[in-house]
Amino acid sequence: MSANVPAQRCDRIEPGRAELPSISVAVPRPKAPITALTGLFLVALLGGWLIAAPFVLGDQARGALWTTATRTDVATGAAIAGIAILGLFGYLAAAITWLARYGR
Amino acid sequence: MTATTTESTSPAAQVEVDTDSMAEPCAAPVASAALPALAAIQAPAPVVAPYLGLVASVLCALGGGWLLLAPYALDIRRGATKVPRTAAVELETGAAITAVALLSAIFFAAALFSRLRPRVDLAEFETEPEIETDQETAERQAAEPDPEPDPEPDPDPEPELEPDAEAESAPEPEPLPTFAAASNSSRALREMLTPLVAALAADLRSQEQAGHDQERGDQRRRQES
Repeated sequence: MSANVPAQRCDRIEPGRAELPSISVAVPRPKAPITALTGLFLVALLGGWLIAAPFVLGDQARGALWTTATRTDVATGAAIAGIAILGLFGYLAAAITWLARYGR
Repeated sequence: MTATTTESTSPAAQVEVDTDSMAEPCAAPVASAALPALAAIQAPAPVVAPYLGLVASVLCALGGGWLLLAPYALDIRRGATKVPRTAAVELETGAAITAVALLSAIFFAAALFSRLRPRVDLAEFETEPEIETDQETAERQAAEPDPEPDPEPDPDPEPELEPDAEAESAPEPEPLPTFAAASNSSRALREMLTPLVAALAADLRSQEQAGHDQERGDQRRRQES
């Protein structure tokens, strides 16, 4: 299979990579906020605890209709845990994207 | 106008600028040649990640605040004198979530501000001596009064150096002082632009010199005729 090379539009030869000015820029890689990430992980764990608390502590009887407190705990805990996990994964995705584009 | 300058001092930094070819389609390779370097210089700090963490932390803090208010807003106590265990768990967990989320938000905000802060210290540019080109030197020398003016100006002074030789004898850019790692991008940009500015100044001087030589030749022809 022969390569289909388009015709050159002018006589100028494109400069090679070795002829270009060589600039080596070391992009400073900032430190990750480990404390903040740990805090967000703790918040996710607390959200999980909030979901499980009515059942673990026995405040919600098995098979009975959920009380207002149980519904509040489960809904708020799920929301908090979901937001925290989304924040952690968002941070991870953004950091990996930056490293893939600018990291070395 | 054709302004083709070539800096011969550093072979690694040879850059050719041809203004006539800018309108031609083949100017794209030259223009695109500088793009990788500029893209490397303008590498932004990673601000999206701490921003996402900050938003998530603030939302979690709001959820914790709702947990603090929920026993009273939903009337879980139902008039009881003692707070039931469900409400107590909600209050304690809400307080813990609010505190931890606020701390996380503060740390994320600190990380975000530290990354948004300019990486180059402006004080270094203020204290750093500026690189003086040939044209600036000539202008400064012309502005300064001559302490001992010549009593009889030489009618036919010796011609100065040839334009090519003068272009070759363009002052070599002084090596810039080593900056910190944070100012690497500005240093690279300065190193790339300094030979260009020096070559442009040498080219301007050579053009002026060529104009003077032509005027002298015209005067000689008039005198001979």
